[in-house]
Amino acid sequence: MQIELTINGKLKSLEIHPGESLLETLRKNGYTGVKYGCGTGDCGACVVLLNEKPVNSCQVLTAAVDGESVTTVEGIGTMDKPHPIQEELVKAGAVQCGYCTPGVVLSAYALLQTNPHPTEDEIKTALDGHLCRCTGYVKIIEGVKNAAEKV
Amino acid sequence: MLNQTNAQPIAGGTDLLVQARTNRNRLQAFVRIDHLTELKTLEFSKNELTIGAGVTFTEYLEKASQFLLPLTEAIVLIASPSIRNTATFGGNIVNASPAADILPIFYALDAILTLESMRGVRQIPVSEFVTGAKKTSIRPDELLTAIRLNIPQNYKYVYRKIGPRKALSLSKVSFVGFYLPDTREIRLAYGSVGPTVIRAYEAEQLFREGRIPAIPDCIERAVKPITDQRSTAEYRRYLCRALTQVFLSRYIKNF
Repeated sequence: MQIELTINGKLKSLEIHPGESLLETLRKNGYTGVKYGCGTGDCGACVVLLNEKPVNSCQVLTAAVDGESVTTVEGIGTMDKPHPIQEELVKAGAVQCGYCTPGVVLSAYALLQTNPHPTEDEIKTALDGHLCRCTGYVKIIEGVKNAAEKV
Repeated sequence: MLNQTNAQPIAGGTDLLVQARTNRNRLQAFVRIDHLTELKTLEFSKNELTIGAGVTFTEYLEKASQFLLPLTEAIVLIASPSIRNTATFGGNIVNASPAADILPIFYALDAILTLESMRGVRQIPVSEFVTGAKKTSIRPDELLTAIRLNIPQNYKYVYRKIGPRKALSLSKVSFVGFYLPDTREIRLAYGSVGPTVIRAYEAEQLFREGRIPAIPDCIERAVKPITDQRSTAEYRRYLCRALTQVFLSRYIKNF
């Protein structure tokens, strides 16, 4: 079936299988910043923004979001021009294997959009759904906190 | 549409799609309902709360978090923000997990569900709707459209969800206790300790009769926990007793 999605601000027409998850659609179409972790909504590696809110893309049927707007990490920053959240995560040493990072960046981005000066608890709540098995969470929280001062 | 197909309504999909993936043999068809504005009602009038089945937990927290604090406390502890952004009240109820986070509160406040089909509308108490673990009395052509409950004028409560960690945990035990000073009543409901949520009617009756010291033992008999990967039956039974004691000692003099 044919659907339309606005991905990172650009309208795309995509051919999909009716049972396909948004995670599968995005990766197939080159948005490999979206990671496949657990497939059950437990790890947060596949988080993207759907109409500006974080969702687990493994738990979304692409056919059900026809016409809606999706933001992936590719729409937040680039290698040449990283977003302050990405810069501060790097500076804080919050990125090791990097598998959880795209999801973390998107959840942090959504948080700072609605709440530019979050408390530490608010940052922790926003990142509740993300598992990191490398650096742990202290540095991630520190990075987001520093980014909040810059954004 | 539900009339003519064997398709299942899907809203947030946070349970259904995980189940569909782990059960690939089953041919599955879904009818999307998350865009139906009729299911997005959130009304608060004369101490009555009506929640549309399609309301997501995030929408509740944004628009209605001040109406019923124990429900808000329970919802804040559900899964993670990315799940709360799509998961709905209706889905949590129809999925009928013994560990469903919002059910104990709906049981304690005798919530009434509205089910609609081409044949008409029926209303049924939540405790009659859920018939077992993951089982409900919903008919194939029916859609759960709304949840209605009365909020007591005065109440005190304790809500607790005991799990391995704060976010994304399935409960070992969830508990809600309400104390209604105007009618000198208590309401007690326990999640994850039986095939359905257990409302402790017998213990509530003991309270009315003033036999308060007998309540903890009564609770131990009322709950039917099992041992599984999340916890043991013994520990769950102990928790039910302990949480009941926490509740009673907080609000009831001379307990």
